[in-house]
Amino acid sequence: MRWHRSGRELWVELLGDFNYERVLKLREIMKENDTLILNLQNSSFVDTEAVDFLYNLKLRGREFRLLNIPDLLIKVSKFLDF
Amino acid sequence: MKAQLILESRVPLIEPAVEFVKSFGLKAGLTKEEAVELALCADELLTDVVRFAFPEEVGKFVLTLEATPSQVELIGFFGEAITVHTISQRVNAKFGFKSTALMLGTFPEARIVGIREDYGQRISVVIDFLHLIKKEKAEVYLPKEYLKILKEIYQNMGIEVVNKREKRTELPKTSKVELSVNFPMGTAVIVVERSGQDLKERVDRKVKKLFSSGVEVVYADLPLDRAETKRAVKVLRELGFVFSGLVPLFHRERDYLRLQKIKGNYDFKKIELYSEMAKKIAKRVKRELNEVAQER
Repeated sequence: MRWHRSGRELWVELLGDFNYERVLKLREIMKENDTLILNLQNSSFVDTEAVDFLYNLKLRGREFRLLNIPDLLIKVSKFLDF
Repeated sequence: MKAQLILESRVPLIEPAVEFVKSFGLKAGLTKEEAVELALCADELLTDVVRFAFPEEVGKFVLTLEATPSQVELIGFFGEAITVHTISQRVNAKFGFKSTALMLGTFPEARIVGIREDYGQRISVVIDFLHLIKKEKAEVYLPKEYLKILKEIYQNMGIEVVNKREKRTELPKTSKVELSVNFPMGTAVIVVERSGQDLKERVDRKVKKLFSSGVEVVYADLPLDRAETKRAVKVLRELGFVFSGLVPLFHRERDYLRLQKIKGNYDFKKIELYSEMAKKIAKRVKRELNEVAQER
């Protein structure tokens, strides 16, 4: 996982699938007021732990943007409205 | 094509295991998209096992993959869920696995996560199976002793059973028997590919030898697509074998009846079961063990 901060924006590029291990890592590095910008160009899939993580960000009103979203997540994100 | 992964329940091991499953899928002939879908399934399964089956400490579990070489398709998953608690069994059930057998004493006694006192006996497992290719019907020879329970196990997997009639012919003089022994685990499996007139003598000799060399449990697998299996059951019961269950597609993609012969006693109160089918199987195993004990 590669990341850097730009003001309040936390830019993260995952170096593999968006799974539980990477969710744990994201929880570790994210600060309360960060806006997450997550690049998924290297992720072939996004598992339920990751979907749960994103959905909870939405529920808590946290800002995030996803880049290069895998097809399966596009369907899920439409369904969950994020 | 078959592969077995023995894994520790640690988060960093999920991804390499998922990658292995993906490459297995590709080698077995899946397209890239199908392999990614398979990898996602494996990721979900493994993450649940790591998160929920062993919440406090690191545990070990086995993931088995099987694909037919002819059709290069995955045909089923089976899980060996320990019965010290029901968490692994619940995870299997969540993914549609159905219980088909109870194997007593598969693993040596060990300190178990979340259990402070000694467990006090070898660890038994439930075989949970998931067909990946829908099987509508099984035409098999069901021994009369296990006609009802085997039918129930098949039906629980959504498979219609046709019990074929055995034409009584003379058994061949010699049996064809394969033995595989796992000395570190103290278990052995006898696969009876063909039952002959010498079956009782050969199995008896093997079991005695195994029990005297440190093996604690012997499982015997009988093919349900062979007519003489009906008669072989009687022979093995006379040697003290009891029911274990159905082991679908276990050898050469065929269904087998599994029997088991144990050393010592098991306290069934310590065997925690989740599915109704597993409980039914355990009841049958316990009853037969009591019968064997009374005959001694």
